[in-house]
Amino acid sequence: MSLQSLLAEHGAEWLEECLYLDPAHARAYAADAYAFDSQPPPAVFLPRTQTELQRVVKACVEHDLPMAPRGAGTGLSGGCVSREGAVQIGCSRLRRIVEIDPLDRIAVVEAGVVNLELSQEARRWGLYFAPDPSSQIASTVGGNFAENAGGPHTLKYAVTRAHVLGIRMIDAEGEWVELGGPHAPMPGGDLLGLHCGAEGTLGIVAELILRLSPRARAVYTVLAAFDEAEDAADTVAAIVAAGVVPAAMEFIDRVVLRAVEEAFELGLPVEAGAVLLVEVEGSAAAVAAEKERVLHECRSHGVRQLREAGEERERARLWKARKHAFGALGRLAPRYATQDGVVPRAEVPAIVRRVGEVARAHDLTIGIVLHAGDGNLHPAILYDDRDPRSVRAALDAGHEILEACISLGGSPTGEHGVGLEKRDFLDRLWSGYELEQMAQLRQVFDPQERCNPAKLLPSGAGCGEGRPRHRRGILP
Amino acid sequence: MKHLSSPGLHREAFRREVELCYEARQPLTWGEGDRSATGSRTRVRAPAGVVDHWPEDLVVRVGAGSTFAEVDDFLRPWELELGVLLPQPDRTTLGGAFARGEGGMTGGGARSLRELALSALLVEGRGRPLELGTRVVKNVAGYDLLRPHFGAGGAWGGLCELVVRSRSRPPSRMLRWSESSPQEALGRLQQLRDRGSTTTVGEWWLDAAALARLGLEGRGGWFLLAEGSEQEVGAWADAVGGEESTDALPILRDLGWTESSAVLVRVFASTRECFEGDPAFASGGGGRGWIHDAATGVNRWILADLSDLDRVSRRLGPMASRAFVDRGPIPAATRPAGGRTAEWKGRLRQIYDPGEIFPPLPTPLGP
Ligand SMILES: Cc1cc2nc3c(=O)[nH]c(=O)nc-3n(C[C@H](O)[C@H](O)[C@H](O)COP(=O)(O)OP(=O)(O)OC[C@H]3O[C@@H](n4cnc5c(N)ncnc54)[C@H](O)[C@@H]3O)c2cc1C
Ligand SMILES: Cc1cc2nc3c(=O)[nH]c(=O)nc-3n(C[C@H](O)[C@H](O)[C@H](O)COP(=O)(O)OP(=O)(O)OC[C@H]3O[C@@H](n4cnc5c(N)ncnc54)[C@H](O)[C@@H]3O)c2cc1C
Repeated sequence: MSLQSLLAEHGAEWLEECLYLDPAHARAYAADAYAFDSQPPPAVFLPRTQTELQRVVKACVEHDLPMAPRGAGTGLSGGCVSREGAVQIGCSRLRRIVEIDPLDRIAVVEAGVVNLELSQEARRWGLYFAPDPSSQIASTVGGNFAENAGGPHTLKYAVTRAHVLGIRMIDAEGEWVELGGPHAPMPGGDLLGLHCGAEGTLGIVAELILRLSPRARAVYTVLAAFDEAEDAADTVAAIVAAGVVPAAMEFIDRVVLRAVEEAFELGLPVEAGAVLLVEVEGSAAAVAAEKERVLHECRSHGVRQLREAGEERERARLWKARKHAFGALGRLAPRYATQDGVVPRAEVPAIVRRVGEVARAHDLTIGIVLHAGDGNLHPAILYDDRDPRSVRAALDAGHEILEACISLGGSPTGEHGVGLEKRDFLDRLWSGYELEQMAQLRQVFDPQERCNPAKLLPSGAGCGEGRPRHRRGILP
Repeated sequence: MKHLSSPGLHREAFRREVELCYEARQPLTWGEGDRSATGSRTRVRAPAGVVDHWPEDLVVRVGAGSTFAEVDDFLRPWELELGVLLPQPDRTTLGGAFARGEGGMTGGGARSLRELALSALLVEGRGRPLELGTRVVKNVAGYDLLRPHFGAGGAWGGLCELVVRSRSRPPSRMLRWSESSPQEALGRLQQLRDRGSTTTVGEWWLDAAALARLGLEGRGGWFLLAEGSEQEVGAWADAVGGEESTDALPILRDLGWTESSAVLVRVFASTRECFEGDPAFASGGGGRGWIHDAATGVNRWILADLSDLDRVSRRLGPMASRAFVDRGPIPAATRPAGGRTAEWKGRLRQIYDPGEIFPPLPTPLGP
């Protein structure tokens, strides 16, 4: 069976509006935001309705075609890139906000709804969708669910999973399945929680029931500049130890800071070794108390400058330094690769040091942005894609940083997923037996491996052989 | 509560018990659960005690047999707590609550035990240990194998240890209540929400029968719980009005748990369904009281005895498919559930429990 047989059998009528076979579409859908891999899909489907989506999936099942689901393509691990001849099934046209129920603080939305659009819509009830990946201006809630996306505010409000109450999805056989509902997860085994973060390998999500959160009454944002990156890193742990869990606590190092300043002229303290962007929010009284504790910890760690956001405009300017950080890096080198690793919070100073060592060893410039409260680091490795040695060095440096995350008790991905990029990294973290369990689990939901083939698990998962584990042993 | 002196030995003992049951094809049950269904089942208890603590990361690793009260006592010197409000914290274990799918009665989303649990050491049906996840607070690389076990009743494995997040102990907590009939309930909730904002961590409506158990009179009433600094909670109290209810929280939390003759049913329903959709809810259902939990969507229905269960499940109509007997003699009905999810759950059982020795998955009252 093949794509040709699907086309022949179904004729062109219903497909006409949602199937694209031209080279321009194939090129446009060949990659996501991960720079090192691309593959034009043999066909791109962009269904306009959920019914059409199911028809497409059913047709693929009948003709034994693998499928790669896609949201906005902002993924940073090659998660939606076609492999093994998978056709691309894009959900970006499924953009209906079906319902917002302000009483139960629930939104029912289609998978292609853009994250920020939902929060803007919910604003009139004083509500918003808490997960806020820095890509929220473009990424879809379906993609956020599939990656279990985080963001700067994950520190206080947790990852996407905590904000998804239910989904309506099409499984690998083309059938509708509903998991969860407009209430807390019920007993009977939390399959919804398992599907969140499964990177599109267990089915295609068409609709979601999302939890909305009340907007805080008061917000206080401060940019704290430190001479040494280590001081900024130490301050992170100290703030949490002082009993404050800020809504966000972002670390930006000198490399990134300078690039942002050059690009946007925000008046940032470019001579600093690193800055922390700290935000506390809640009631006015809570914010007043937490603000004092945050400032106290910054001062006791030798802060050189504090820039407080008095009003919304200034706050937006400070956040621009963070949210546009990667865009600004484009000015410093022809290319950059954003990595994603996570360490226990207390190891943040150690990983910051290690990244510096890796950069020196490979003679590369590496900028660091960190969701510091979560220990989730995004080193941006600058390289020149015209120079194969530079490309090699960037890849090696990225891997060494991830190795360091694992050996510090962390993980090679905090929020960008495994996708294509980190498949062969998993056996550094898990034993062969644990990987075998994951492979078996996949078989439960998609025995033919039709949904997003060759993603998330190592190519040899299930064979029981793994490279030596770096994770600290806890089993006998 | 103390650190487990030699966690390795406890792990091995727990694992070995499962392995022995598997070899003998001897059915088992976990903790204190499934009293009515136990019969000849061997009871396997997870270890209790702290395995590791990383206060600077707000993460603690404990034996799954530890109770909430024990863990909170352990965390107190660091001014930390789990912050999960559940009935009988001095008897309820972390493993039991996780397996029952009990997230806690406050906050919903991020504060649910479902989200606080980062990873676990599980023993599957052949007695093999499996490490599910890591201790970092973000995503798991690969499938998050811990998730299916939330609410699985131990049907797919025994939780030996759990790694959970802790949080700073709030300096102040306050419960306030104000009377409201079921008819006024929705409007009043909206008003309270508008005034209370983010400081409110719990919202419960109690019917007249439940209120009476708290020694209060009325047609029903909203209870709101706030946490934060004294100043913050003080400002909140001024905004929401009502009366402070100083001793009611433990009673409200444990309603239906402390009486041996009561059956407790958890119903998963939205606020609108409770007050508008189903007259049985609005009229209190004729039981011994019900609590609607607006923050988490998990409602508790207290019944006099099992014969009420039939009547209630009929009155609940379609909502019965979202109602679970939470405490009390659980009816033996093991309904064969249909559909794709049942098929998946069956396959998971084949993987995790090939000897069919584990307790069954919790099933709802209705079809
Ligand atoms: C500048 C920038 C900043 C970023 N910041 C963050 C951040 O702060 N936090 C963070 O977590 N991520 C971040 N990301 C990564 C990315 O934006 C997130 O992973 C996002 O959730 C992906 O959403 P998407 O709609 O673009 O999905 P895609 O990239 O299209 O797909 C991502 C994965 O989800 C699957 N998928 C998509 N839609 C569906 C569906 N409907 N059903 C089933 N599977 C589906 C795909 O198969 C793929 O595996 C950032 C990316 C960029 C470029
Ligand atoms: C039928 C019944 C009647 C009760 N009556 C009273 C009473 O009259 N008065 C009173 O004060 N208290 C009563 N209780 C509460 C009881 O005494 C304990 O306080 C309570 O059961 C302990 O709860 P637990 O969280 O440890 O879970 P358990 O009750 O031990 O178990 C709950 C569920 O979780 C599963 N489970 C437990 N541990 C694990 C694990 N480690 N791994 C995997 N799955 C696990 C079990 O199989 C079960 O499905 C009753 C409990 C039950 C079940």
